Amino acid sequence: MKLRHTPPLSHRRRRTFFVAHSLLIILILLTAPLCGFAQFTTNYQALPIEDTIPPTYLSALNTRLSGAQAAISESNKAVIASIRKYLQNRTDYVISRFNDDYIISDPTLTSSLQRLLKDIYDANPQFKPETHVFVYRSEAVNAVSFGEGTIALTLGLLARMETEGQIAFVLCHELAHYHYKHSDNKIVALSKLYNDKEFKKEVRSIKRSDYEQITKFSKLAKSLELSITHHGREHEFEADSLALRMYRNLTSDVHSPIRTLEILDSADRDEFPNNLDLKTALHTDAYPFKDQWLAYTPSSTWHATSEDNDSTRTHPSCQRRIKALQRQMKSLPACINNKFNADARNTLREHCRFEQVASLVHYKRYGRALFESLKLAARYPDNAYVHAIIGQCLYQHYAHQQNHELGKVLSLPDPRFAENYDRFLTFMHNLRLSELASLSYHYMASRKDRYISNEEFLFGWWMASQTGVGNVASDEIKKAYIKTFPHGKYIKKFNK
Amino acid sequence: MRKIYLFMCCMMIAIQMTAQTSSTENVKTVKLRSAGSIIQNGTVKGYFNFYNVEKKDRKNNNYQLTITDENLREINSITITRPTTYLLVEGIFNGTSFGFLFFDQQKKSLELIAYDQTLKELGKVTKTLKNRQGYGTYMYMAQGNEMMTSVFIAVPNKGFLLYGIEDESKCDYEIEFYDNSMKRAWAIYGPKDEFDFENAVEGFQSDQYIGSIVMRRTALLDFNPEMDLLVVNTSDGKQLFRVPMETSKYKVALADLSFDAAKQQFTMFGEYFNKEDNSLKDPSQGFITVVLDMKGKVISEKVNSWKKEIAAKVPAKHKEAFEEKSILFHDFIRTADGDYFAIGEQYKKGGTPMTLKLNIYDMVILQFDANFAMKNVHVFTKEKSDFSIPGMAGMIGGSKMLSYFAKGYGGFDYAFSQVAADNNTFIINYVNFEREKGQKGKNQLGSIVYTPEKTFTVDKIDLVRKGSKYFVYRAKPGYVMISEYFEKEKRIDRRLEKINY
Repeated sequence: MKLRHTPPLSHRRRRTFFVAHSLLIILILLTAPLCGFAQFTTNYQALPIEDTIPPTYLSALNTRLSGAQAAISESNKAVIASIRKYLQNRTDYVISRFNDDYIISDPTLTSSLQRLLKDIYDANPQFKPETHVFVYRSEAVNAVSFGEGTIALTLGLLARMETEGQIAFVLCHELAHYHYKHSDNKIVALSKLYNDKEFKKEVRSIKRSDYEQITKFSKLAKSLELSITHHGREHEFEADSLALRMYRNLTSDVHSPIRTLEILDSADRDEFPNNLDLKTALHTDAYPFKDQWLAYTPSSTWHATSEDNDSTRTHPSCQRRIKALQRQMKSLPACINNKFNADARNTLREHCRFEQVASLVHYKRYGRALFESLKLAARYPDNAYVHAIIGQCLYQHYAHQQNHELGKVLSLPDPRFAENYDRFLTFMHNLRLSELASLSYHYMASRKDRYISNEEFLFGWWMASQTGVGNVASDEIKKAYIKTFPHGKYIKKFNK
Repeated sequence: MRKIYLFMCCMMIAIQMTAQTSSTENVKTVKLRSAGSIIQNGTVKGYFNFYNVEKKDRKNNNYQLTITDENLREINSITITRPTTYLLVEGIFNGTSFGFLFFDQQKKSLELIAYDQTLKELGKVTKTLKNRQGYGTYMYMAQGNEMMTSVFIAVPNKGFLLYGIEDESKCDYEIEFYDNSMKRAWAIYGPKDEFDFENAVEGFQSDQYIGSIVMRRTALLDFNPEMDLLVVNTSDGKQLFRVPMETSKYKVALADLSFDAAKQQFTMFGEYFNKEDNSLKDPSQGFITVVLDMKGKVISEKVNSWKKEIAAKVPAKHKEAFEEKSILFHDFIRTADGDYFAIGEQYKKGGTPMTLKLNIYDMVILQFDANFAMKNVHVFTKEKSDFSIPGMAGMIGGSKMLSYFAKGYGGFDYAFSQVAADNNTFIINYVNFEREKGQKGKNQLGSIVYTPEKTFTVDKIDLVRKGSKYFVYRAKPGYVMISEYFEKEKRIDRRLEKINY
């Protein structure tokens, strides 16, 4: 798994996210698109947040769980109890992902994935179509098969995919994990291990020892981790192999699988090769941008640890996976047809970029949301939604800093981030409270005449008026909002 | 600077050692506080954490030493096995290597280890503390007390300085210079003369020179010491000069020292006293700046007396307080425009002879211009706090001596100062217990900020305590680092808080 250069927050997310078998797919575009899409030129309407799991899908999950628990074929009662518990936990986890708003089932984003999934099953009739695919609210470039039939592709992944073929290959890979029962098998293996007499004896022996308990436990954990990692790596090659066969039954495209892994290999680089032009983005005549804010000095004590040994990663290196795929391709028969729709893919990709921003705001990750919004603003300079989010995020930074809670919404600079993001974080941390307030206010004030009719912008303008920088009556803006949007989504927030 | 406090601490150690007041509980506290900021040229470059992981065997523990950068990102972590009586005293970074100073209470020894930026060991040296006073300094720290001034100093890219006590002496200083692989390059010692008690602390560093303040006493409990300025070459320790810290009329104490390479001059800035006065007991006459040539000869001097120049700038509403209370100065800061700031805190002896206390009042900042003329007196009000003086310590003298004692035991609210890299902004931090009407009292971190606009502003952060203990550390400019220890979970949480201004 390519974790070594990613920040701790992403580590935690990934560890959680990939509790079941998962494939880490990280892609980067070598050339950033220079122009936007007409559909997003002036505005974007964020998808509604789905608060709870759809009842029909909850019912389906419970039915699957009952079936899986009934099908346990072990004889040892303790092992059976353990497997049942793990299966229950896995289902609970999937439900929690829905209930915590992470999973998007809205057809706007999922219909093309459902179509691809159907096409893959149609082309591979030997597999029963018993999985469901969704979109996951995360900017991490990931996909996951939870193991009980739910597959999710992140917004970050979909925003980076160049072709439908690449998405199809990722789906094939996740399907391969599911149909090989990798998650189920791991649950059985772990249940057996934890109930193994020798293992329990060793744990007891360490607990009883007077010295070096932690060192001994660490060694034991390390040996287990290596064993699990080793099997996990085998599973990845296995999933790639089956994914390629499924994929080749679907399409004549031979480029996407290799290209997917090539992009994965260069995943740590920023999607856009150039650093954000913060000066152009945030300068206003009323509050000129100060060059000193751009001061950037990476840590002088920082030492990047040496490259992780490939054997300790959960996923083997992409180069090795590419070679394995290339070997396999030589022996595969000619393919059938190519059904991919390039235009639909491009629109979906842009849609995901906007929805990523909406998701980041929803999870109060205002620092990242601001960064992504500024990138979008460079490509969609007339989009009211993007400017509104930039204004809202600037205000949120101001409000959190005022309460000494900046750390809750903005990461600290980190040499492991891509330079573009690290520079942005350094810039944000260079700003004083009064400067944050002024930037927030003047950014919105300079655009209000143009975008005031936009709901998101109007609420952002009300936020900016709270900074106390300009002589603007907040109450008047609030009244205007209530009058214009009597059922608006921010009505409740005025009273907080 | 704060150099005089070390001397005071040394004196208190003597008292404490006689009193035999060390306890295991305090040592645990020090172990927990084996975490701190890694400083390079006055700026925080990271943090170290040293904690006991487990017992290795009957006599040794496995310790983990972790270093993070200034943004709390872990640089590396290593496990080392050392005796159970092992403490980390200080961690520093000189731009090339990390230096760590450890103290082994049982073996009465110091260990200095140098690491590169990957925490690969570059070299180490062990020193047995044969001198009772030298050992006492570290025992004082091991009892949970603050070392008011650093004894282990980074010399940019060249190595490390260690200030200590010479083995074969009653109590004469020893200044050692170690290179980046902990090989001793040179050492200098207090002269063999009638002053058997000579302590030294770092005064300043330049590319070429290292300045130290030397306090001379004839006896351990001599409370009327003489102060000297000692300047040596960084490369070989060869003495450039050693002169008394005085002019024709006055004695100088609590001095901030600097070297102007362009003018080839040294400057002393601090409180001054009449020659016959005792700088540890008598009130000072005001502030003085003294310029010395390369031989230590006084070229010029300028005074600002309490009665004239300083009194004229005290705000009317604070005049009475200035007359009633004394000020202990914690730090001196010079900004890029040449202005000098003396950072102090008001105090007054209180309580009864049986329950002696030192009451601590407002923060005071004296501002001088580039020519050392009195510019302004700033007073920042805060809640009164007090420090109870242990019975025996009450015998040591007047309120000034007690203020040094209180300082040594962390009795003042002042915590630390931070200066921005451009020297235009600085922040004075203190921890105070705030009581607002109708609300439960709470500890607050107060930050007095001198902004680039040359105005002062105050920010306050509530120190909401979730863990069993918390500590406030220096951080990169504009921030403080707050560490909380959760005893039940045996966990330490650390976070950076940005200061508002």
